[in-house]
Amino acid sequence: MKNKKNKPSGFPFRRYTQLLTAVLYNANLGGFITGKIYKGDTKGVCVPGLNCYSCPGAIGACPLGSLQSGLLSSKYRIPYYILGTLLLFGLLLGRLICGFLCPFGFLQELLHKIPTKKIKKCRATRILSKLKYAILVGFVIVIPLFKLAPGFCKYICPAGTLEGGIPLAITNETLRSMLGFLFSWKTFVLALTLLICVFCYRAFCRFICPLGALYSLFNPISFFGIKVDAAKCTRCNACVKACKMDVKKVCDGECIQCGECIKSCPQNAISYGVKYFEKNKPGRK
Amino acid sequence: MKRVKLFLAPALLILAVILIVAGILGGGFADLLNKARMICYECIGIG
Repeated sequence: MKNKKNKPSGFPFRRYTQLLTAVLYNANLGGFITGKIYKGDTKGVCVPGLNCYSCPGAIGACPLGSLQSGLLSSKYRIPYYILGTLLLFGLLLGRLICGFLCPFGFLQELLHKIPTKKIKKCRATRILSKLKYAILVGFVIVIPLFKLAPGFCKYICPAGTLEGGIPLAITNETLRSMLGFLFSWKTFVLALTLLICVFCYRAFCRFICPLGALYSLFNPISFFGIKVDAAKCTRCNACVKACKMDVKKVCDGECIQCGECIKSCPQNAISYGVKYFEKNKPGRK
Repeated sequence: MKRVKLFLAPALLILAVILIVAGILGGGFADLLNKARMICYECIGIG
C-alpha cells in the first residue's frame, strides 16, 4: 500500500469547475434584476448540463428542455440538431458532465455538506436508481411525442422552478399574477428534492434526472473520463465502497466520474484520461 | 466489448456531427433559438 501523501487527489479543481460552470451558464446576471430572459444568439446552443433556458441568467439552452420542445414540434421537423448535440456530449464526456458541468448537481452536493445523519447507498437506492430511465422514456420522450406537453419540464423539473420560476415570479409582476396550482406543485417538488438531498447524496441525479439517464448510456463508451488500469487493479473494491453513487463498478452507468475513487484506490490504478486509447480493460469492481 | 467500443464510438461520433450539421442546415438552430428566446411557461410552472 502506498503512502497517502503520494496519492493523487482526483481532480482538485472540481468544485471550482462546477462553480465556474454555474456562473458561465447563467452569465446574464442583469436578468435576475430586470426579470427578463436573455435573447442573444447563444440561446440557440445547448449547454451540456441541466440549466433551464427560462432562467433570467441563462445564456444557453437546456438540452433536456430543447429535446422536449423539439419532440413536441417533431410533426414538422425531427430535432436532428438537438439529438446530435446530445449524442456528441454523451460520446465525448458521458456522465463526467454530471460530476463537473451541472449546476443543479453542484447545488445538491453543497446541500449534502449540511451536517446531519446521511442515508447511505443500499439495495433500495440501487433499485430506485432505475427510476430515472422510466422518467426519461415516459416524461421526456413519450409525453412530448404524443403532443401533450414537455412532460418533465412541466410536471417535475425542480431546476426549472429554482432557476426560472422563482426568480421570474419575484421580479416579474405580470408572471406573478399568473401563478397557480402548477407552480405550487413544482415548488413542492423542488422543496422536497432539496430536502432529500441534504440526507441523500445527489438524490435527484441518482433517482430522477433523465439527462443523467441519457448520458449514462454513453458512459462506458465515452472518450474522456475515468479509466482503470487493469494491470494495477487488485479488485479490492475500495473504489466502489468509497463511491456515494449506486455504482457496481467504476465508470458504469451510475458513475458521475467525480474522482472520489481515485483517492480511495490503494494501487493508484484509477485516473482521468482519454479512455478510448486505454490498453487495459477496466477491472470489474 | 472492446471491439464493439472500438467501432461504435467513432461511428456514433460521425453520426453526431452529421446530425448537428443536418440539423443546422434544416433550420434546427434557428428553431431552438426562437424557442429558447421566449419564456417557457411550462418550465416555470405556468401552463
